[in-house]
Parts: sequence; structure tokens; C-alpha cells
Amino acid sequence: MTMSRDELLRPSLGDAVAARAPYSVRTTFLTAFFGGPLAALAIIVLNSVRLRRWLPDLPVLGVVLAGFIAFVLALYWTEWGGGLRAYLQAIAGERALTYLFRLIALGFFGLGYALHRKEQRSADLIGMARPNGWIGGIACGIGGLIVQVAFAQMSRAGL
Amino acid sequence: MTDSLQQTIAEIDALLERRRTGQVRVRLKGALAEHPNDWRLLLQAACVDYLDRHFDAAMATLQQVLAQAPHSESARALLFDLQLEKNELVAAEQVVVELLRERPQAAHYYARYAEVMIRAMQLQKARALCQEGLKYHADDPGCLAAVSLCDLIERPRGATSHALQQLLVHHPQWLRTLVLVVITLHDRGDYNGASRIAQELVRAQPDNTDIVQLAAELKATTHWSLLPLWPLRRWGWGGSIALWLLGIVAVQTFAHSNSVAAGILGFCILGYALYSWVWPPILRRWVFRV
Repeated sequence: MTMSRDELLRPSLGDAVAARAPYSVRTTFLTAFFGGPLAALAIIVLNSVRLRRWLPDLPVLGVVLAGFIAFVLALYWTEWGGGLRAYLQAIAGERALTYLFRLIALGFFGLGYALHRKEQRSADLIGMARPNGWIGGIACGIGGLIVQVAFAQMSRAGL
Repeated sequence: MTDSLQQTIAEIDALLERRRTGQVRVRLKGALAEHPNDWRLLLQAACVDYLDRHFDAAMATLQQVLAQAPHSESARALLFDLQLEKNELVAAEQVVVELLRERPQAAHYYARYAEVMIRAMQLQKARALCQEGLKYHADDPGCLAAVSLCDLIERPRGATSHALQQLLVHHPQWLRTLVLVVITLHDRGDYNGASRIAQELVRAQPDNTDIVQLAAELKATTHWSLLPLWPLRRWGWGGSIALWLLGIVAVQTFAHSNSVAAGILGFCILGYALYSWVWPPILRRWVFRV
């Protein structure tokens, strides 16, 4: 990237608040693992906001959220979904859907890692102070689980 | 300014360069008793506070200096250092831009500005600044170190960095060069090599808390009790996910034929996961104490 000296010496940060360190990869992983897909998305969104890059991340995360909601609706409302549930329960038992949602959550964690890899690495190498993972992680985990259970109940009830 | 004061200032500068902060404080106490308002002595007092990481005291003294000598380049450079330490990036950027406008060919100021941009996660501008700085001083250590850091952040782990090679050729003894080498070795999975260099750095700079912390973490990483975690270290979070998947598949496979074996396997996997989460931080704390 070539910049003229005038461009180089033009302040870039202005009055805007600079990016803050994201939640650590460990916090994001554990939140996704224990909290499920919505908790994973919630902590990725929090990281985007902290990194001041929610605008470029919004389309990707929006598509992923819409896709996940459509998948859950299809899982409970369509014939295809019923067949898939029966198939999964036949091979992995009663907890098959729990495993499936956990796998999806880990997929979302992977997406978040790909989106914020450089920022995570910067924060590690520069030694930026990370936010308290317990508070953010537990809040996202509980919130995500409540919404997911409520959504699944509503889907099952056909609301 | 009297000759004796000038000589005292020069001697204190020499001590500051060698980071002999204890001796500097003794010399400054006497000199400031005689010349309490001399801004050069006050600047040295701010410098010694900065070196000893007493940032608030350094800033308070520096404000007195800037009130007397607002155009002093050394005072503004120290102001920049303090703002960077306090993570006041917007203010630090303004100071370094002013310094660069006054001295547009000073490569080290481009490097310092690049540091601000790296902290603000604007790596493209950081690289462009270093490129400009290297035009004026082809082997400026600050610019090369900043580019090396950008390479470490942006490139795949363990990839070769031309800037780091240049640093090793031109500034092999510089502390930051060696720290970057330690990080690169760690990224490549050579934990023993990284730990050995870090131990040497601690011997050279036993008072540097950052180096001591780095060395302790690496020593913990190479401890024999962490050998079972090798797959997780080798493949990172992907390894954790693969382990979880393998565990589910294995437990489900055994569950149909042998439920006892499935239970034992499940407990083993759970135990391994707990050990991987709990033991490394405990070990790290223990190594810090030792």
C-alpha cells in the first residue's frame, strides 16, 4: 500500500474511540461450547463492537443468524426437519440435537476466529488488557441458552 | 547555564542511557536541591520515573517541563512514550505527527507512529509508515521491528519475515529483536529454543518484568507435565474441537456394545479436558513463584 507523506501524516484516529481488545479466543470458545450457537454469535458481535468493526461484520453475522433461525424453524416445522431429527437420534441417541447445536456453535466460533484472527493476534502480541471473560461469557451463555430454549419451545408448539 | 550544571546534566544523561536509575536519583536529588526549577533536570527526573514505570509521577513532572519548554523535542518524545504507556492513542498520535512534521526524515518517529497504528489495529498504515521511515534509514531498528510485528500478526504462524531477518543481521543484540525471535520460535512450535533464548534475556535484564513474565510462561510451556497436551498445542482450538468430536463418536460407538467401556472413556475424556483447562494456569503461577 503506497501513501503520500501528507496522507501518512494525517491523523487517523481523530476523536473516535480506538478499538479495544476483544474477548479472548478461550472465552469465545468456552462461551460457544457451553452457551450454544446464539451465545457464540452474541460474543462475536460483542467482539465486533469492541473492535469497532461491527459494520463490515454485520452482513456476515446477519446472514449467519438468519440462516440459523431458518434451520431451527425447518428442523421443527418441516418434514425434512423431522426426518433429520429422527436420523440423528437413531445414530447418536437422545442427545443428538444437543450435539448438533454444539457443533454449529463451534462452527460459529470458527467463523468468529476467522473474522477477528488478526485482532486477536494483535491483542496477544501487544499485551492489550482483555475484558473480564467471566462476565461477558456467562452473560452471553445464559442469554443465548434462554433465547434458544424459548425459540425451540415456540417452534415445537407451532407458534 | 553554568558549566558545572551542564556537566551534571551530561553525567546524568549517561547514567540514564545505561538505565542506572538508582544512581540517577541520587545525582538528581543533589542537583535539583541547587536548581529546583531547571527544566533539563526536571526532564531527567521525569525520564527516571518513566524508566521505573512511575508513569503518573513522570507525567506530573513532565507537565512542569512543558510549561517552561513547550518546544523541547525530548520532552515531547517522552510525552508520547507516556501517552502510549497509558494507551492514550489519540493524544499520542497528535504528538508524534507534530514531531514528524518538524523532522520529516526521522525514521525512528515513523516507527513510533507505526506502534500507535499497530495498537489501534491499523496495520496497513503501520506498514506504510515503516516503508516511509526505511527510505531515510534503511536499517532503522524501530521500523524493522514494527514490520516484523505486522508480519507476525498478519502472516500464518511460523512464516518467514524478511524484516526480522534484516533485524537479525543489523541489530542481533537488540532486546526487541530477540523478543521477536522468541515469539517466532514459539509460533513454529520450537518451545525449547524459545525458552532458552528467553532465559538468556532474563540473565541480561533481570529487572525487566515483561521479559521475566515471558520467560516464566515459556518455562511453564516446556514443563514435562504438559507433554500430554501436545496435540492441543500443535493443532490449537481445531484440536480441541476434533477431540470433542472424537470423544462423542467413540462414546456413542461403545454405548451400544459396552456401556461400562463407554462410561470409562467418557470420564477419561472429561478428565483430559479438565486437566487441559486447570493445570496449565496453576503451573504458570507456580513457575512465577519459583
